[in-house]
Amino acid sequence: MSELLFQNPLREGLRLTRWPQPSTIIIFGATGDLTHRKLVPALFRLFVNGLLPVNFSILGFARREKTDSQFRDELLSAVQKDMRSQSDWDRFAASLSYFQGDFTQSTEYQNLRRRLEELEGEQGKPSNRLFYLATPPSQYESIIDNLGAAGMANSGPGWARIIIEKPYGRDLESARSLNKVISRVFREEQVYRIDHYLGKETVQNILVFRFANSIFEPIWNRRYVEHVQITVAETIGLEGRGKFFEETGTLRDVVQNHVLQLLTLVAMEPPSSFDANAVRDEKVKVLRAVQPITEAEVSRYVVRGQYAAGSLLGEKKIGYLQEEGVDPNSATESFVAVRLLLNNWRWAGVPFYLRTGKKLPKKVTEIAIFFKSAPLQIFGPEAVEEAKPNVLALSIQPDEGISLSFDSKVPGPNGRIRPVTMDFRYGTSFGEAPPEAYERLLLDAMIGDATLFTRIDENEKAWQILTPILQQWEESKIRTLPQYPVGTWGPKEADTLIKQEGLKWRRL
Amino acid sequence: MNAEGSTQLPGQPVNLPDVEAELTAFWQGEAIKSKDEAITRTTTLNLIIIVEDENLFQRANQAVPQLAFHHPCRIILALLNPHIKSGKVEAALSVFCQLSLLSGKQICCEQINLQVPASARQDLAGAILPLLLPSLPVYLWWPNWSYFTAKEFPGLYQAIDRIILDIPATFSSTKALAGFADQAIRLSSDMRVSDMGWARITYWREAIAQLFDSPNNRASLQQLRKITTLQTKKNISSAAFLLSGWLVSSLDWKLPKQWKASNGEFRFRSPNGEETGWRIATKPEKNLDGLYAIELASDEKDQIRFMASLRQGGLLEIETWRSQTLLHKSAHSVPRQDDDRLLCNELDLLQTDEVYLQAIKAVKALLKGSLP
Repeated sequence: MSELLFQNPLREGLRLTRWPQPSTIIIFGATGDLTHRKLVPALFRLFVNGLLPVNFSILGFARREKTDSQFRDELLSAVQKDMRSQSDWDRFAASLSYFQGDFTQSTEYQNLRRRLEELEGEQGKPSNRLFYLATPPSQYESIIDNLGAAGMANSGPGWARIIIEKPYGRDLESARSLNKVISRVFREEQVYRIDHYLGKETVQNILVFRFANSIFEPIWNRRYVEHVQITVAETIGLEGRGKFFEETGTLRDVVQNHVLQLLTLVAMEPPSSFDANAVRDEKVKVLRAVQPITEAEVSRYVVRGQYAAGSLLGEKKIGYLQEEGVDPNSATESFVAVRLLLNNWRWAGVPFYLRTGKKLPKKVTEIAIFFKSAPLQIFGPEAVEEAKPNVLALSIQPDEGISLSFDSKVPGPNGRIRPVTMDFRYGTSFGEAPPEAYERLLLDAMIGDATLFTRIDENEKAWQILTPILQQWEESKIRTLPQYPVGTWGPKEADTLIKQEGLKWRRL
Repeated sequence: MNAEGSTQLPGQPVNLPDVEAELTAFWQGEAIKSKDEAITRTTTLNLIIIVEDENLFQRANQAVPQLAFHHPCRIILALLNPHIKSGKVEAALSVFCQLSLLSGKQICCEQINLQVPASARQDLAGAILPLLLPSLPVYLWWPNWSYFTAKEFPGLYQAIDRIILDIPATFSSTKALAGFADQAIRLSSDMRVSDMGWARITYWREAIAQLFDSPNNRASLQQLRKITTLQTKKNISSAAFLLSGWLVSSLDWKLPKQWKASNGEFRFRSPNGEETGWRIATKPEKNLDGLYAIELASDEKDQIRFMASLRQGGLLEIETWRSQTLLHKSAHSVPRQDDDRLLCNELDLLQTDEVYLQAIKAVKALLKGSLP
């Protein structure tokens, strides 16, 4: 939380209690897709909602030659749908400028520094700088080293922070090596590893649901919970990212970050406060408690697959191996299902089933807590068959909300039981649209609140869990993965995985 | 209004004792229509609106759709109709649902309209209390000039968690403004108090606070000696008083024990014992009405001044000056200020707004010295 807030007595009691200091955001890779699709629209929305500080500026850094005015013109289309008036854009555009240069050339950074000092001098603001690396990861090392060499990691009286986009490494070794590069130049508290999933309101609501209500906590453990399912399903395929995805795969692209982050939020102990480190300490403890899957256990507890040609919503779709940029003999997975156990008092013996994949029937992200059945069924043999265990489902997207299923008597003399669902939909309680994930995260980074960002130990621990799986896959030399037709819920091996314990995947 | 002085209530007329039964029947009908899915509704609060004239009743009724969209709730809209001398409390029901684009789900709201004859004013609690949904906060929107007191509304007074007042934009006398401040302070000992007038000046407070976010400027807070508010007409502007009350209490300026305001100027002591003051200046400004600028200034040689001024086109300009040099200038859009929206925001809050209370207490203290 911002210390500044407490130092400005006039901020007290205002509705917007979190307020960033005057600052400059320097976007590396300013002509790229992320800048256009996410970053600038998010900053523009923050601006029109009056959430950016006085004297903020955005400096785009990229290789291509262009003027400030060309840069602004190109970004106009990115914000069009949020524009309420031309004057909104004119005032926002005045804060945008462009710096042309090569990230790998150390001399460019002296020029960058001078440019920043000019900007700051013109506006009489402190040298608070937020560096956003919206570049391919291969550029990270060179940018970070050059920033350090130019003395920009510590910007004198102001602050310097750096936001790094995933992937943070491709295995434990490379993650450690990247973290070493970062820590040569920046202190950990200056580093904001972004996982946009954590910026989603409903992901944050998991913590509120668990820790602002007292009725769920007593049953949130091995005594009442039978198992937990976490699903992150996408309907899209590679979307032109074939080359990138071939080197990555679903385990690295989604499980290492989004899925394990959801696991930590649902399984963590209550933090002592909502302070960044208190929350992240508890999340790391969950990752530390994950029972390692040995290489020998991988085939038993992990399933991977690739989508095959099929049809989705009435449209024929090609298979993974036919996608552009994909090796026809590729063994890169587009689907993963994993069973994990947590070795701690709360969760010992409760299996956590995680599944994620591309070209599945629905875009849905959900955490489902399956509770144990009633210890004795007193309503006769029919009821035993009809009664279902309670399921508490935390839906993250697209239909954010919480639903609880429970058994209810069917009206009439038959004594029949039927499960019914009680739905709470976020949108039916709060008509306001929640802010986009990037808005929240950019604002937090400007304020200096790292709660929703991944810490170095979280990042490395997550890689440590997955490394034996990656190694076993590497060593097994299997070239043909289980297939699942586009528009289905993954290969049949995924059903077998969960059936080992007499369970089945929740129908979504 | 019809011939007997009674207002046609919107919705389906219903006997007051049958309201709950009618609503239950309605939702059961909906459940049957939806076949397999259990019907569940989210309700976040009870909102009581009590108005004393038909214009306010129509205004409140028009605000309901937006309120309901942001806050699925039960609304009890009561018109205390002075034109009906006797008779029973009349009731009418409406239930409306709106599709949320966010969730694709219906957001539903139950609206119970009541018309209470002048003679039945004392019966209002007996009409409203049975209609409140249990375990949910009770908000009262009180947009009237008159006072809401435990004596006049026994039973109902105790049920309110938060009252939303609406300070008039101007007052005919400082006595009337002091009366309003008095009411807000008195109510705050029994319930939480909001004020739509306070919400309307939030953007001024945001802009002024923003000036002092930078550490350099923050140091100047200690050096501030003069507040000047500029308004278009010579009148008692509640916005000017609330803003000054807020600044005076936030900066911890104290009034001397014996004092009297003169020529629209109020004198204080800063925490360091320096003399400080607030001056109300009147200067017509084309196309603007009411309070349009506020200046905060130090009085040392190398004077620093902070200005926030409304401009045409819905902009609020803020400037920082040292001596005669402009150090910084920026412009902000004045946010959309319609009352329905502000009221929606007020319903988001349940906690006590201590800063408002301090500000209104400061206003009351100021007025003590200026009252005849």
